[in-house]
Amino acid sequence: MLTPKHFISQITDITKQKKAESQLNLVVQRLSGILEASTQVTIISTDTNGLITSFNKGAENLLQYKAEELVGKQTAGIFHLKEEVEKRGEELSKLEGEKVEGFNVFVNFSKRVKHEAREWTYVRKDGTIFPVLLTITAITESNKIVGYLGIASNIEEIKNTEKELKSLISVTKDQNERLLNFAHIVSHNLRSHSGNFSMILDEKDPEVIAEFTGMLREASNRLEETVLHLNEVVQLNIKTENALVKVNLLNTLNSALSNLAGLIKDSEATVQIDIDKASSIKGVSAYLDSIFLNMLSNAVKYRSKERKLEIKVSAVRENDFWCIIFEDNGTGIDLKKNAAKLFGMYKTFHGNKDARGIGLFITKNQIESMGGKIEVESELNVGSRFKIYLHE
Amino acid sequence: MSRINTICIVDDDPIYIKGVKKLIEMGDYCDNFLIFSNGQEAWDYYSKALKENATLPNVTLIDINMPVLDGWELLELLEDSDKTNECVIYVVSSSIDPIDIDKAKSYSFVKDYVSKPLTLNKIKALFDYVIKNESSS
Repeated sequence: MLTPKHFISQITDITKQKKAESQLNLVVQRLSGILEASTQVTIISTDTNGLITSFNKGAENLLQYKAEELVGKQTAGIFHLKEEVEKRGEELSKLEGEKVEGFNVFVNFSKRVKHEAREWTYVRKDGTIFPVLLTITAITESNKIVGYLGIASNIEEIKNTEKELKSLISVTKDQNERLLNFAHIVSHNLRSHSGNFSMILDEKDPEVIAEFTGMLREASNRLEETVLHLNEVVQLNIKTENALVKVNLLNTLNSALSNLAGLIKDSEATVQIDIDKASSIKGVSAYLDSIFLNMLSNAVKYRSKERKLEIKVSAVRENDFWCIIFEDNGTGIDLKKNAAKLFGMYKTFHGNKDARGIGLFITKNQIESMGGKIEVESELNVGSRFKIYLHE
Repeated sequence: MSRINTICIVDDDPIYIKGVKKLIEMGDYCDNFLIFSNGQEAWDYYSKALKENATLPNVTLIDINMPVLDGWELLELLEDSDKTNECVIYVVSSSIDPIDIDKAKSYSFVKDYVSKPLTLNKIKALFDYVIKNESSS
């Protein structure tokens, strides 16, 4: 039997390695602890192509997918809104001067600046959506990107509060504007009537008094009219949102036309109608009556002396809205000069004696209180086209 | 000079115009009036008069709220001409809004802001001042 003469033993100090190992275990434990404990935050990692490599408890909770359904099988695109990604892709493409699409939309910035935070919309397994604030960080190993880590939290509540605040601000702004208009009427118009009264009544000379008496009637008519306008502005203040009912467009138009039959006949105008008899909007019936009457009577009032008046009323669908179009071949409006005045109160720019500068102001406010909007295109001496958008 | 040659009134309110004319006649200040019912009509006259170097009305009363071209727009146009310093311009309006009053007074060639209604006393104060200044100059 061969007896070994000597042993060679090699002792390597692996203290460092062991320490590192246990430290690594600790870190991994801690990390997975954090990952699992985060039940309200989604922490998802992907490889460089977007393939999901880990999917934490929070992601399971919020997105309704199980980790095993997605890890190694799906890309992050599965819980993103396709249109939103495409839209952002277009923005980035414009910015970068080259096509950015697919997964690159998410990591375009993270590639360079290591992380990027943005608001996105997440889609749950059942198709419902919620807004998130997503921070994407590039994971690097010796300066090479090996994957990405996306951490997102649900910001639905913040968003809702933000929305509420915004709508509150817009209501306050509206009310403020009306208050200003109210103050304006009181300051300018009511005072001008009372001024006229006192000027007339201060008169001592009987001859002049006789002359002034006829004016009293006119002054009192004008005062009455102003009070009516004031009343209309106050009425607009009352929120109409809840009082919206289905109003048929063609019926409303026909009743406005029959109301104005005399006026239209006298002006020898032709009216062309292109509205489907089934089309209707959600609104306040009395408002729509007043809007249609005002649009038509304006067309007659501001017709051109050089040609026969032609009015065309049509309605086309635009998403959830009906766009009601009033076109005429009247005097038109110089929008460059008068755009700001057009819908303002007591602003008139035609030398028309009947103009009181209240019609379009009321019309605009009525439309807006029903959640719609009004736009105008016009060319001097050619005609005008008013577009009124109202909810279907 | 004890009377004013020409008074120009720019206002869209026919009752006011009639009343003011009456008051001025009663005070025997003037019987030569130029009446414009909005800023555009007044500017048509003024721009022509300025171009031809014609004599301008001695006193002009301008309302603020008017159709077509309002008082502010007319003042802007008049401001561009240095000849406007030669005539006396008052802004006369029913507004008691301090913003309007300050804005009117901010034009160097606007003598003063007068709030409607005009009374014989107010007219006296305005025109006695104008006559005094014209005769001393």
